[in-house]
Amino acid sequence: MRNSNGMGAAAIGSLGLIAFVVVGLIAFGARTLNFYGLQRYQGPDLARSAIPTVDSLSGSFDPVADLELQDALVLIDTGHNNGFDEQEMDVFLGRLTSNGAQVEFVGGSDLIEGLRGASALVILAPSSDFDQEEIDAIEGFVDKGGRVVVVGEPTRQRSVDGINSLTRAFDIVYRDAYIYSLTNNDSNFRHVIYENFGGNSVITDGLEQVVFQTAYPLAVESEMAIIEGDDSTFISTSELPGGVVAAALAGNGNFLALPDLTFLTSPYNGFADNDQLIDNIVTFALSGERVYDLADFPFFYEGRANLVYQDVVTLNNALADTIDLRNSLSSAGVDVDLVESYSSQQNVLYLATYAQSVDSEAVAQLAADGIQLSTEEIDADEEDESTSNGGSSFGDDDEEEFSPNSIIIRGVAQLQSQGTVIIHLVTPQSGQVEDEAEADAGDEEETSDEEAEEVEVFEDPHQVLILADDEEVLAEGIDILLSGDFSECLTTDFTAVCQVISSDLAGDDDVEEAPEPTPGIGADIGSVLVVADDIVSGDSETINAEGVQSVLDNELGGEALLWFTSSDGLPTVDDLFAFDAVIWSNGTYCCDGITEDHQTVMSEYLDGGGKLVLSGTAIAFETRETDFQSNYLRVEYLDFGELLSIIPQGHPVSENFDDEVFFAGEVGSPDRVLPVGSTDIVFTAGDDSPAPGEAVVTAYADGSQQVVFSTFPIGALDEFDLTTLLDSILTWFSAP
Amino acid sequence: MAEDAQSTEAVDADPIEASLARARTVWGIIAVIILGAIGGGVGLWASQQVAPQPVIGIVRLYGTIDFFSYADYLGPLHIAAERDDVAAVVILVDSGGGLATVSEELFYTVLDLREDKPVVASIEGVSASGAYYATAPANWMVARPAAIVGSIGVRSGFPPESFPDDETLTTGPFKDVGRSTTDFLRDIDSIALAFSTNIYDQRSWVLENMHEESRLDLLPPVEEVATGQVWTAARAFELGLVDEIGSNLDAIERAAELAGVRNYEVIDLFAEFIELDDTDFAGFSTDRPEPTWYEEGPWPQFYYFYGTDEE
Repeated sequence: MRNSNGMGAAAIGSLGLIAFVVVGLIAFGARTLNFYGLQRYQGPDLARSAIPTVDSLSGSFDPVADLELQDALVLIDTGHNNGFDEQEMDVFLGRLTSNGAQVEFVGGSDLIEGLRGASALVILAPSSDFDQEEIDAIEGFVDKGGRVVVVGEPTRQRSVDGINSLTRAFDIVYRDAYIYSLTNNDSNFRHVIYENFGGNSVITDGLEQVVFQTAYPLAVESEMAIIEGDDSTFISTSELPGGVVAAALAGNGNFLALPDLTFLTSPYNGFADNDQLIDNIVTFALSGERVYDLADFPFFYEGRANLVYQDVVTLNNALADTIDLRNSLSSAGVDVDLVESYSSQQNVLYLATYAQSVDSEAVAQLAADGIQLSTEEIDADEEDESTSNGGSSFGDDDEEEFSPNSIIIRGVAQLQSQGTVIIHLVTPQSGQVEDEAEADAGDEEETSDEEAEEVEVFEDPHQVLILADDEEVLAEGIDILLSGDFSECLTTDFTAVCQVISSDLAGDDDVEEAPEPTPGIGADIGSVLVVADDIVSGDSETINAEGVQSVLDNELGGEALLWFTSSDGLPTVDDLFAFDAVIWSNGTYCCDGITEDHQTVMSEYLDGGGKLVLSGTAIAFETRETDFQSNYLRVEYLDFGELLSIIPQGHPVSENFDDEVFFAGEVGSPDRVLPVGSTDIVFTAGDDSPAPGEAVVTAYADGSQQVVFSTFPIGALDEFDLTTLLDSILTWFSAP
Repeated sequence: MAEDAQSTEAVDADPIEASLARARTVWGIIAVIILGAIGGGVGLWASQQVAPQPVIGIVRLYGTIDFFSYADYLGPLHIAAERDDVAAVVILVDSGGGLATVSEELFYTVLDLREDKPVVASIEGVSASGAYYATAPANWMVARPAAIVGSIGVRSGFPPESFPDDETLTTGPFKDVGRSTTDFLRDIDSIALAFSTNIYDQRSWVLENMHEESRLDLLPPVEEVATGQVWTAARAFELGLVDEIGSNLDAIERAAELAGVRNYEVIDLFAEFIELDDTDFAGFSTDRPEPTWYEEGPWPQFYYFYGTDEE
C-alpha cells in the first residue's frame, strides 16, 4: 500500500532541494571555472623603495694667501669670442686684484702689445682661432717667464679649434669631448671629483679634492699632466675609463691649461678645494720670473727713469722722437726725469751719438756686455764674422776724438758704424745671457771674457742705451725702439744693431719720399681727442677707445690723445676744443654713460662748431626724449636688438665701403634710430639683423658743427674697416 | 462469496491509487528538475555576481606625459582599479616621458594597482625616461626588438636668478628663487637617485620572481643603468630591462595568465573613460581645465624626458 502511493512530498522536497543546490553549485562552478582558474592573483608584497639621500661635498679653504702684494699686470683676453662675462668672473678677478695685480682686458692687436708689459695672460673659453702672430708673441712671452693660464669650457665653446690653435704650440690638445664619472662625482656625472695630482707644482699645493663642472679632457704627454681623473672617469666620446687628464703644465712650467671655467665662478668655487685651486692659480699667475728684453720696452721700467741726453743738440734734433719716448714711458706708468748724466744705479734711457759718449759709463757698460766700438775698418767680406782683434775701441781707451768705424758684437758680428744705431738693454739677465752666448762662441775671446766678468751687473735698474753715429740715425733708432719691431736689425735678446738710411749717407737722390699725408689726420684734422667714457679702467669703453686711438696713431699716422673719464674725469669744453676733432667712445653696456653732464659738454662743444664722433651701444636709448638727442644727434630712438652687420648708404663717411661690413668685436644690442630733419643715414642694419634697413650710423652737418653718431662702438670693427671709417670721417670733417 | 466480493473491491481500488502514485512520482520528478534548473539559474546568477566575465583592460601611454595628458593615463588606470571585472591591465607604451611629477604619479599608481591586479607593459615604439619610470612596476614587460628603452635620468633648467630691488621685500634670501644653486644640484641628484633606485628595485623584483630562473644577474649596476642611455629592446632584454620580446597579443595573454583568467574580454579603458558622463570620476575628467601652474612658476621644472627639447 505505502509503495503504491508513489513519491512522497517530503521526498520530492528533499530531492528538489538537493537538485537545486547541486545544479546551482554545478552551474556556479562551471561558469566560474570557465573564466577563472583555481589560483587567484596575489600581488607582490614589496616595500616601497627608500629615497636615497645625497651627501654634500663641502670644501675647506683658508682664504688668504700667503702671497705678498704683487705689482703685476695680468691681461685677460677678450679678442677670441671668449665665452665669459666679466661679472661672473668676480671671484677670480677679485682674487687677482686683492693680491695686487692690475687686470686689463685686451683684444685684437692690444694683446700682442700688452704682452710687452704683462706678467701673466689669462685666456678664458676662446672660440676663435689665434693667428700666427699672436701665437708667436705668446710663445715668446712664455719663453721670457710670462705666465699663461688657458681655460677651456665645453659648455660655451662651439669647438676646440680656437683654443687648440694656441695650445698645440705647447703640445697640449683639448679633446672635443667632456669628462664624466658615474660614481666619483659631486651630484652630477659631469661634476667629476679629481683626487690625482701630479707634478710638484704650485697649482696643486694643498689640494685633496677638486671638482670641475664639465671639463675638457686634454691630450698631453704624461709628464705634463698635473690633474687627472681616477679609473671611474670617462671621456664622453670614448668607451674606455681612466687615464683622463684634466689639467697640464707646459712651456717650462709657465703655460697652464685648465679644462673648465665654471669652477672659477660662484658658487662652484666653494666646492671641495676649488677655492684653494683658484688661489694657487693666482699664485701661479703672479709668481712668474718675467725676463724683459728690448721688445718689451718700456714696460721693464718701474717707477721712474732718467732720460739721459748727452748733448742739448741731440735733444733738439730728435725732439719729436724724444717726446714720443717720454709719452711712451708715461703711458707705461713711468715718470721721466730729463737729466744730463748717466747713473748706473738708476733706470736710464740713454741717448747719444758715438762721439758724444766717448767717456760715458754707458759705453763702458756696452763694452762690458760685449759690444765694442772700434776704429778698425772692416772688409765687407768679413762683416759677418765674429772678431775683436785689431783697432782700438771704447772701453779699451779713452780717445777723445774717437770716431768708430765698426761695431763689434762679441761672438756675433762686426758691423760698420756709419748709419748704424745700437739699442742695448742692460739688465741682470742681459749680462747672464751674453755670457752664455760668449761661452757658446768658444775660447777665442778670452780677453773680453775676463773684462765682462769684472763689470758689475745691476740687480734692479734697467737701462736702455741708444747710440748712433749721428742725430738723425739716433732718431730713427728711437722710432724702432718705440715700434718694438726689430725685424730689420741684427738682434740678440738684449741688443739690436740696426742699419738705417741717413740723409748724410744717402745723398739727395736717395732721400726717402715723405709719405703722402693721409686724408684725415694728415690734412686739416691734425689732432684728435679720443674720450674713453669708462667707469673703470679696462672696461669696454676703454678697449674701444684704445682701438680707435691705435688706428689713428698707427694706421693714419696722426696724433691722438686718449682721455679716460675714469681717471681724468669729464673733459671740459675747452679740453675738447684743444683738438681738431673729438671721438667720444662709449662701450657695449647700457645705461652707465651719457649723463646730463656729458650731454651738456658735448652740446656746448657742438654749439661752438665742434666735430664730434659719438659711438656706443645704448646711447640713443639713454638719451631718448632729451634735447641732446633731438637737437644734436638729431635722431629719434626706435628700438634695440642684435646687430650682425651694417650696410653702407653712400654717404661720404661710408662711400669707401663696397659691401656689407661685419664686426670683429662685441657690440652688445645696439639701438636703431630714425634720422630727424636733414640728418643723413650713413649705415643701416644688415639683412641678417632683426630690423634690416633701419639706421645705425647717422651724420649731420650744418656748416659749423659736424656729428657722426654710431649706435655701436666703432672699435668693434676690424682694424681695416675701422681705419677706413676713421679715414672717411676725418676727411669728411676736413671737407669744406 | 464474501471473500470474493472483498477481493473484487480491492482490485477495483488499486489502479486508481497506482495511477495517483505514478502521477505523484512524475510530478515529483518534474518538481525536482524544476528546482534543479532554478538552482542552476541561481548558481549561474550567483557566479555572475561574484565572478563576472573577466576583462583585460587596455591603457595607452602614448605621447608626452604632462598635465595636458595625465588624465588620459590616470583615468583609465583608476577605472581598472575600481572595476571588479578588470582582471589585469596591459599598458601600451609609446612615449619618451615628460614631466617628472606626472611620471611619478603614474609610477605610484601602477605600483598600487599591481597589488590587486597584474600589470603588463607592452612597448610598442619608445619607452623612455618618464614612460619607462611609469611602467617600471609592471609585473612583465614585452617589447618589439627594435623598440627603444631607457633614458633613465632627469633634465632641468637652473632656477632663475633674483636680484634685490627696492620695490619688493622678502624675508629670506631664497624667498624669490626657492633655493641656492648648490641645493638645486643636490635636489636634482636626489631626484635622479630616486628615479634609478625605484626602477632598479622594481626590475630586481621582476627578474628575481617572475622568471622561471632568476635573471637578476643580468641587471647591470644601478649607476650604469642611470647613464641616460637608451637601448633597443633586444639589448634591453639582455640587460634585464624588459622581460619578453613579443607583441601586444603576447602581452595580453601574459596578463590573462598572470591574472588566472580564461575566456576574457579585452576592452579599451580609455574609451570607457571618455564615455563616462561623470566629470569627476576618480578625480579625473576629459574636460578638466589645463593645470599648467607647475610649468609657469619661478621654480625649476624637472623632466624625465628623452631628447633635447621638452616640447
